[in-house]
Amino acid sequence: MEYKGDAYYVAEVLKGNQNSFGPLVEQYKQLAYSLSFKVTGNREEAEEAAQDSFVKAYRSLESFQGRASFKTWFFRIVYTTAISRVRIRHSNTVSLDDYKLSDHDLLEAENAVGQLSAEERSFHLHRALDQLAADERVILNLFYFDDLTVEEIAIIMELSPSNVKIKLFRSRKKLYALLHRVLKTENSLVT
Amino acid sequence: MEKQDNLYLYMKELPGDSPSSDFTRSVMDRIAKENVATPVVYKPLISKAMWIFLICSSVVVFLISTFLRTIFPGQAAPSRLNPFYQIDFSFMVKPLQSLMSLFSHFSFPLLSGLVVMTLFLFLFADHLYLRISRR
Repeated sequence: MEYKGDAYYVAEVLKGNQNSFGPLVEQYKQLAYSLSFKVTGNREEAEEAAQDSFVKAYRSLESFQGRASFKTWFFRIVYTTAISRVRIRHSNTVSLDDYKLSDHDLLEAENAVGQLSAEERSFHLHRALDQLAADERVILNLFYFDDLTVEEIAIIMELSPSNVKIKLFRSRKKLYALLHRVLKTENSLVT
Repeated sequence: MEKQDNLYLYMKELPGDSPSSDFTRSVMDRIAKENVATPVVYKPLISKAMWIFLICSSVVVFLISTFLRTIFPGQAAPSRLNPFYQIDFSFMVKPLQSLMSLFSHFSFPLLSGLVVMTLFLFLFADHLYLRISRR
């Protein structure tokens, strides 16, 4: 069945057609689950958070005024729902202060990652992302994986666009710092 | 921050995370079971624009009937059927002397009164319609 656009199904649901919410669920379930998983790091929690998000979105559909796109508005709900389920993790995340990265090391890490096979790269990238804080992992995924703009991310995460850019820069640098440490340990860096 | 840097390509290589196969059915079941009220937007009986028109029209009618009595001169024996028939409230002076003295010379055109009463009826009907719709 051809997808007729978010606005069509939103209007249908607001007219009282409950079943019209189904296509919206189908359209965004992948993104909702993916974002929830990036935040929670747990499949069961991610599934529950994603489902909760859809139910919350359905209940508050009346308040969706169309100022932002439905996708951005819904992502905001997913993000806040998933974040509220995350318990404070003290030991799993790495502080950037623990491992400083010079510009030379950053370039080295970028080159080394580029020389890996796609499979190895995905493996290391996945592990490095898991070591980031939830918001750092989310912001990188929203920007690079989900292709959202800085302005859309600012709405979702309730940050100013300039803060988003700063956070993106720092998260990216921290990710490469983690990759550099791992790859250096495995002697993959070409000196 | 450019998306053209290599990290963009590397992130795209990562496998996507997928929900369970019955995810959509589970969500729709939850919505149905929790008896979530369908978020229907209620349209009022009388729109905002119509209210503005009605109020402006009422003000115009009131002004014409109250202050422009010279438009219809020679109404020596006004009939109740005449929209400019004046209601005289001086009869209220008797029962409550102190309060009714305020109304001794108070009068306003019947048409204005009808317009105000109609407005209140519209307001009541609109409110009643909304209450019935929300049941």
